[in-house]
Amino acid sequence: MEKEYLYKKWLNDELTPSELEAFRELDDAALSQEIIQEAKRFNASEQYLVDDFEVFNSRKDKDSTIPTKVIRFNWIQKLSGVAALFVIILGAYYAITAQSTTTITTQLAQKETVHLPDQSQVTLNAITSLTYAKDTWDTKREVSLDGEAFFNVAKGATFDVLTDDGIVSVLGTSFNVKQRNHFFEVTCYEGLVSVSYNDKEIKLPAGTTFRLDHTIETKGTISGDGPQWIANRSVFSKVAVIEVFKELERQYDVRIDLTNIDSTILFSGGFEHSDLPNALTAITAPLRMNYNIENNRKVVIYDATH
Amino acid sequence: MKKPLHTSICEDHIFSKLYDTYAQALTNFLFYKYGDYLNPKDTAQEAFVKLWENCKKVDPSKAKSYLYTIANNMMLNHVKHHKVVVNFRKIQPKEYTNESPEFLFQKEEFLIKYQKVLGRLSEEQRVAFLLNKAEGKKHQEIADELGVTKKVVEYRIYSAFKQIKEELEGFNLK
Repeated sequence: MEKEYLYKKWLNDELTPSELEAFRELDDAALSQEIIQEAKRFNASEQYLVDDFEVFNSRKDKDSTIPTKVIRFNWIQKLSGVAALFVIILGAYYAITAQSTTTITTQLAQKETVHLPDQSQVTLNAITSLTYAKDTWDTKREVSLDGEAFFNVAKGATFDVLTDDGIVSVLGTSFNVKQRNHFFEVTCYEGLVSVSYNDKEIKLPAGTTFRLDHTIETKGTISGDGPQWIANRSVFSKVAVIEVFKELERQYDVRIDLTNIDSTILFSGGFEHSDLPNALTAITAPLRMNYNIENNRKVVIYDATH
Repeated sequence: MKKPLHTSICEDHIFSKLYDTYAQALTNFLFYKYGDYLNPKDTAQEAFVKLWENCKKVDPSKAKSYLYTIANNMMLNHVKHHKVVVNFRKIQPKEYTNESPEFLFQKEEFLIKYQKVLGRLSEEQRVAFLLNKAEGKKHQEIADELGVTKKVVEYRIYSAFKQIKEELEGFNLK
C-alpha cells in the first residue's frame, strides 16, 4: 500500500523531500527512474515534425480535389502483399526443384563410374545423364536416368531409377537400365528388380531381361554377371540394326549413313569398343553388308549383295 | 453585443492559425495512440485537408474536435488489426564515452522490449502515459485534450507505468 502510494505521488511529481528519500530506498527505484527517463525517447515530435503551414498549404490545394492519401497507402499495401506472395511462391519453387541435385553426364565414347552417397555404384555408358539429390538421399534413394547405366546398389531402402519410359525399383542388387528414344531395356544380374511402365508392373529375377521397344514388350534370359559394355563390348540379341549402329555411333563418335540398307533387320551379336574397322566388320559381315570409312567421322553402310 | 470577428475557417489566416496550434499536437496524439503504422503526420495533414474542404460547415470553436475525430476515424479504418509500434529515438553514439559496448547493447535491448510493452498497453494507457512522460504535458492539459478528468489521467498513467515496470522487471541496467 505504502509503495503504491509512493509510486503514484512520484509519477505525479508530488513527492515531499522525505517521501522522495523513502522512494529511493525502494527496490525498483532505479528501474522506475530508467523507465520514466527513457520514455522521452518515444516523443513523437522528434520523429514526426509537422511541416510549416506554407508547405502544407501548397499540398492542401493539390490534395483536396483528389482522393485522400489513405487510398494510395492501401494500394501499396496490397501490391506489396502480392509481391511478397510472388516471392514466396518463387522461393518455394526453387527450394523444391533446385534442392541441390547432382547431375553427371557422359559424352560420346566416354564411360564413367559414379559412387552414390551410400556407396551404391553406377557405371554410365556413353551419352548418358544421371541426376540425384544428395540432400534427400538418406530418406529417398532416387535417381533420374537418360541413357544407359549399370547399377550395383548397396542394400537398404528402395532404390528407384526414373526414366521417361518407366520406373525401376530395387532393394539391393545389380542391374542395367537402358533408355534411349523409347527403347527401354532392363536387365537384372542379381537379386530382384521391379519395373513399372504404362501402369503395369513386372518383376525381373536375376538372369532375366525385359525390353520395351516403343510398344513391343519382350522378355528374355541372359548369362554373365554384368553387361558386356562394362567390358568394352556391346552385345545385342534380336535388336533392330539401327539401334546397333546408334550404339556404335555413341561408342566411336562417328556418323553412320544407313540410307542404303534396310535398318529394321534384326541383329544378334556384338562389337568391341576399341577398334572401329573390327567393330564394323562384326556387325556388317553376318548381315551381308559392307562399309566404307569416308573420313574419320563418317561411315557409309551398303548392301554387299548388290 | 459583440459580433465575432472571425466567423469562418475558410479565411486563410484563421486556418493557418489552427494549423500552427493543432497540427503537431494532433500528430503526436495519433502517434501515441496508433504508433507509426500509418504515418501520423500524413494522417494529421489529411485531417486538415478535410477541414479545409468543409471549412464552411465547421464552426471555428468546433474545429479542434472535428480534426481529432476525423483523424481518429481515418486511423480506425486501417488500424484495427495492426500491432502498435511506437518508435524510439535511436541511441546517439557519443564522441567519447566510458559506456561499454555491452552496456549500449543492453540498453538497445531494453528499449526494444520497452517498445513492445508500450505496444501492448491499451490505447488509453499509452496515450496518457506518453503525453505525460514523453511529451511532458501536465495532467490537466492531457485531461482537457482527452476530455476526461485529471483523476482519470493520473490513474491511466499509473496503471500504464505499473504494467511497464512489471514487464521490464529484471532488466537491471548498470
